[in-house]
Amino acid sequence: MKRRSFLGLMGAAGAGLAAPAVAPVAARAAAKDFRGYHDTPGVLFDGTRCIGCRKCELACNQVNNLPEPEVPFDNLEILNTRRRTDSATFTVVNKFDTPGGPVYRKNQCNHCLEPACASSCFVSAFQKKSDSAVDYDETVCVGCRYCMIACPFEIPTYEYHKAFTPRVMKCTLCGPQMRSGELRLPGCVQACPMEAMIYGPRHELINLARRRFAAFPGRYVEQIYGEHEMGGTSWMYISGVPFTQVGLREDLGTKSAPELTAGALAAVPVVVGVWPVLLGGIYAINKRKEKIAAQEQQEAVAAALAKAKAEAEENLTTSLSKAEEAANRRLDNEVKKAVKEALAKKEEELKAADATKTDEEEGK
Amino acid sequence: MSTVTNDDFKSYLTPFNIVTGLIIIAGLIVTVIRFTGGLGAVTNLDDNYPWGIWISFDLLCGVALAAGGYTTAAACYVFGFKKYHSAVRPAVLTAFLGYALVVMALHYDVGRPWRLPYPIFVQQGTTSLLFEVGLCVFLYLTVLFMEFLPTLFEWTGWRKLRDALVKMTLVLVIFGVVLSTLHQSSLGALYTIAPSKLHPLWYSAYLPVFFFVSSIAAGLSMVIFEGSLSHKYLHRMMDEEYNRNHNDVVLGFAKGCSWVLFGYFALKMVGLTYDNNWHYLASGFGAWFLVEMLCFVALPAFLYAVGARDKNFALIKWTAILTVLGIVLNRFNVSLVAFNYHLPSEAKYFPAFMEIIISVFIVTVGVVVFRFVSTRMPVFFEHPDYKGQH
Amino acid sequence: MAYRKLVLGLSGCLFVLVCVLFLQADVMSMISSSGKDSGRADLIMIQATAKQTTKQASAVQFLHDAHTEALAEQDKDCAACHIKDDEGTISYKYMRFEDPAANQLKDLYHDNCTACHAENAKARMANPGPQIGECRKCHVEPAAHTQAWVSGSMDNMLHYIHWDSNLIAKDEGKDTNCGQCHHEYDEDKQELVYIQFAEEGCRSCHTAEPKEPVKANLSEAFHGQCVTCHLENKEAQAERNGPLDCASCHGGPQRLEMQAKFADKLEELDGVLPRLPRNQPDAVLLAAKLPELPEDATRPTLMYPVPFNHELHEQATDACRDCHHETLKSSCTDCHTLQGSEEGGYITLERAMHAPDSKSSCVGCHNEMKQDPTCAGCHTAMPRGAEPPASSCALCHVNPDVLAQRPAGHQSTDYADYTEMLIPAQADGRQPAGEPVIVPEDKEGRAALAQQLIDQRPKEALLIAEEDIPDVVKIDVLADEYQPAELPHRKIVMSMMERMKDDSLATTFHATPVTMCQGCHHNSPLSKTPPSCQSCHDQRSQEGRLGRPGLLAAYHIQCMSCHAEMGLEKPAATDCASCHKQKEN
Repeated sequence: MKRRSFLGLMGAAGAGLAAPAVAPVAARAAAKDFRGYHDTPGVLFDGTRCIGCRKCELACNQVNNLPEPEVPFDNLEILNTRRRTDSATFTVVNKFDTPGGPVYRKNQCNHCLEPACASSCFVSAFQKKSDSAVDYDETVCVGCRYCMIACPFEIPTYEYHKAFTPRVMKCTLCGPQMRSGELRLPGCVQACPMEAMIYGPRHELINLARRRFAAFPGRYVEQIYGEHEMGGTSWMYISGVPFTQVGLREDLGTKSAPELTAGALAAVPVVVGVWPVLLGGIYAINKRKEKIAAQEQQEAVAAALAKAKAEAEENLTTSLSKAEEAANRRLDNEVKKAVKEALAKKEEELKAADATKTDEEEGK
Repeated sequence: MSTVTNDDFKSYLTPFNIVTGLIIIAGLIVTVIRFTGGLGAVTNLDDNYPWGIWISFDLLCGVALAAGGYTTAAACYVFGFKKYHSAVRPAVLTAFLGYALVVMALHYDVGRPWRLPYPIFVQQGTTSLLFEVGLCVFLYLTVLFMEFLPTLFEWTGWRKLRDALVKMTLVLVIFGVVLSTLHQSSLGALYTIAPSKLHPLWYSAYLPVFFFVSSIAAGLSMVIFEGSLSHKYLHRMMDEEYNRNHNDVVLGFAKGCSWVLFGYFALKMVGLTYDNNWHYLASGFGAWFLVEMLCFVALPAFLYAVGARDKNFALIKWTAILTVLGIVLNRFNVSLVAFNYHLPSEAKYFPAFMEIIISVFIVTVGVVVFRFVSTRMPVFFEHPDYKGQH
Repeated sequence: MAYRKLVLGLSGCLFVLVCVLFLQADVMSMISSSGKDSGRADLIMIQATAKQTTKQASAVQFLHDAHTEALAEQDKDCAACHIKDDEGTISYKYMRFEDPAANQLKDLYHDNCTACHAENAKARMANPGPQIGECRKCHVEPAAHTQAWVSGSMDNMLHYIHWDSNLIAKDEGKDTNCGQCHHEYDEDKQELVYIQFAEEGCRSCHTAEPKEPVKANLSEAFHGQCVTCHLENKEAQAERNGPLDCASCHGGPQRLEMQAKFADKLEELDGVLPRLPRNQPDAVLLAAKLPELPEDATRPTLMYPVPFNHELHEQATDACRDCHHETLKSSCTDCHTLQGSEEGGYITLERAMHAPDSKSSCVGCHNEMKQDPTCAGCHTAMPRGAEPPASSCALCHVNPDVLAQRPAGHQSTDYADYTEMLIPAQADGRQPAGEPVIVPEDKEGRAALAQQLIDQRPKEALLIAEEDIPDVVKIDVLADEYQPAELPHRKIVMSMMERMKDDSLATTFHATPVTMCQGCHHNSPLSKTPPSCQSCHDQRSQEGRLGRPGLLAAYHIQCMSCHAEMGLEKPAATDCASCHKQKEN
């Protein structure tokens, strides 16, 4: 076996061993802390290289067929004012005055690994594609502009002056053009005369950035902006001055947008599950209370009624007995009186009889 | 009608009618401009401020202030405060109108309003809090409509339909409370995705809780406030029972609202402590935050307590207004004032004249419809045919 | 309405609170926007009670120079506040030599300060200073001033001004005056003595917390020594005296001014400071001390010794202590051994000489020199990751045998010779293990060898001959949107050679005439005809050559970063047409 082919075989074996660590993309995606798909492309912007020539802006304008701007691209005076992306400009280069002289930084969509715009869109008009581009689907967009609220980098813009077909506009990473084979690099990357931007696998870009830090000690702020910011971005920056001095906020944190809203979303099933039970329970308790109260009332009424009835009956009986007594007494009296009268009558009769008898006796 | 006399015509020319008429005409004109010239033609919205007062006022405040529907209904039907029964119908009507107007305002605000059903019927963005809001508002509007229908049917005299619906009341109320809890809180949760844009004093992971709790206070206060307004202008429509119970309702709600506001104040302090944001109080934003918290939360909480204790109805009425203003202030602070706090002041948003016209227009439409409904349908009085049937 | 008053009162209170909050916010913003002075060198915080547990009043912000000026107007000097000891050395402290207990110290300040201010008031001065009872005029809070001072170091020029000055008395029996400041403690005699040629830097003994028998700490030593002498000169009404205020030595702007003056003075001296009369060596042979080895141990292979041009470095540094950071009395290798030692802070000899970011190491200092715009164009672009590069070892670590191979002053015109010279048998500058180079043991012998080796070095920059430099190079391989660029190659090289020809660092380290070509023609062998940029830089997609610029970017990065580093404003990097004209079609 030749030495070279032996080494090649060894290499293949090594790769085979190493492969399980990188291959199962789906497994990685299922992991709790998503760090982006392996080997997907990204762009590294080196702030120490940018000279502020606006060639990238020009290229972007051309490849995306955007309207011609008011200020032509060879006018560099405009760099003296801070600009942001707008519906006709997907990328801008800004000049920042630092203690060490002017520094330029290009701004465009950073194509987050877990984009805030995609997370916030209620029609899923934004999607992170496998070629790293965060894609926008204008056929479903309602135009609520929540993506613009959500984006921490203030990138999406809106066509406010269109009445019927307003779109959210932002850098596409030249995804459509590259998928169709029209371009091999994003327009801006291709156009940069200084190769201030490098397009390549994201993890290799990170390694490259670190190699530059090591090779030129003191030249860079030794941090890769976008490696972890907002959960990581496909577009990353290295710079010779602190990032805040070139308009990159360092207070964004490393939590991705979905993580920020996860808590609120997680509360939904809790509310849906617990609330009806709880409220139904409260209702049932109240209902039961009312029922018991009603029942008690009923019982009380019944008791009161019974009591009244009993009392009435008692009254009746006493008065009855009293009446009877009186009647008896009256009867007695009557009887006595009658007897007496009868007796008296009898006596009279007897007397009369006696008298007649005597009369008879006399008359005889 | 050919028999309209001069007198009839004159009777329509009340100051109220003239003003509302003018507002509605202006609103219609702006509506035409909006839908032919795009958002840019009528608003001051820009790429930094994609949401203006149509969201701040019409959506956030509108939904919060329409919270009277679910709070009153829940108090009456679920918590068993039967004496509030007379307040339910006006509150439900207000809530229904409120939500209807919110949806109407959204048609102005979104870029392509004819696609508003898309998130529910075409493609669902389930990771979005706005999706949750949309779905809940859609469902809740339906629920409110069904809660309101008996009123309509009593007016039209469709007894069977009316009876069928009344039987469903409890289910509807509970469903309504669930939906309200969800979307009231989600409106706050909308902003949890942008911690870098909202000033730390207003940003909190507890934003949904803040929004939900404050919406209860807003709902209760709105019922008190509307009650006193209706009392003044629609007194003739009110029956004895309504009038007899009105004072009870006001006192009860004032007491409840006081508790809720105290709770809300405490929650805000917990939020402040949790994020350790006390040091921001020494800044300009801090002063503004203190104004909101002290003058529009702590003060009304105290005044409500005093008012309920002294049975001071004038004080309660004014406190209700203060509370409502406080909630409006809070929603404006979150969505406009403290939003994009890092931008230079010249880049800040201020609503355009025509935006304000649309907002006023929508409120006016609400008032007009409320007046129309409440002067015709059995809202403030019990329909004579349905006495005691609830 | 039983609570009407209460409610009204409460609302009123809240309203007032709101107003106050707004006012306060306004006031706060005003304060923060007003901005303080940029910082004062003469601000002294007097806090006698600092050691007490209970805080009594905030520290006093004492502006020393304001008082010096005010006293000068009254014809008073330092003695008004500072007392002198028997030897006439002025105390650095206010009205005392030693700190008494905190309470007494407080009284000391209160009594003396107010007494003087009261006298001022009696004399009806315009600004007599705070009087008794006006506590808060001194005890101000929050601080009205910020402190900003620089270390008042004695650099070579300032040192020269002193030892060259005839205002300072000469040492007894000598024509130098070093002994007036430099001293040493003689333990036998128990007194300070002066030993010529053994002068030591002040900081060696007078540290921030000196050990016995040293009495004064650094600031006491400096102020006692300098200010006393300056004051004496002033009292003697000498033609000039040194500064008696704080800012002249410690103020940032004042020091910059002073340095500008010194630069002028150096020019008057033709750019060369007279050497110190301390008998320091001209050349030193730096070689690691061999560790003590057991008999049968394998002798380690060491580096060739480094001949060090001491005389040249005296001119190139600010002060002796730039290198002799601890003491002037021992050599680097005493503390920095091969394996590191406790005295050397475990910094090995290799690190002490090569640490790229240290200001005291050879490489670190040379790196700093490379930041000069003249050098930065090429050198900033060179990766500094692995420093020093192995190919450069032999530049310093010279095989002494080279003396035998090349007679002094040998210069070849064949560039290939230089290439070979740089890559000898031991490219890494290591001695062959078997046959060690014998380094003389004695100091003189080593110095002599070092001098011989130094003399071998080119005396002037090795520059490529003008006719060997391609003139205008037309870069047309990429011409597309623009016409070919015409690079004035010879003009550029000539102007760079012009700038470096008097630079001793470049003369020594640009060891061959074609070394400088590597500034642009990097990563390629030394040659008069280096391969073109296209050899390595292609214009394919970025894939597969991550980080290596494409041809277009390679040209642009090379030209533009060099122009930027050299501070060349024209042509501007964004002025495309100044290098290549736009194509007309």
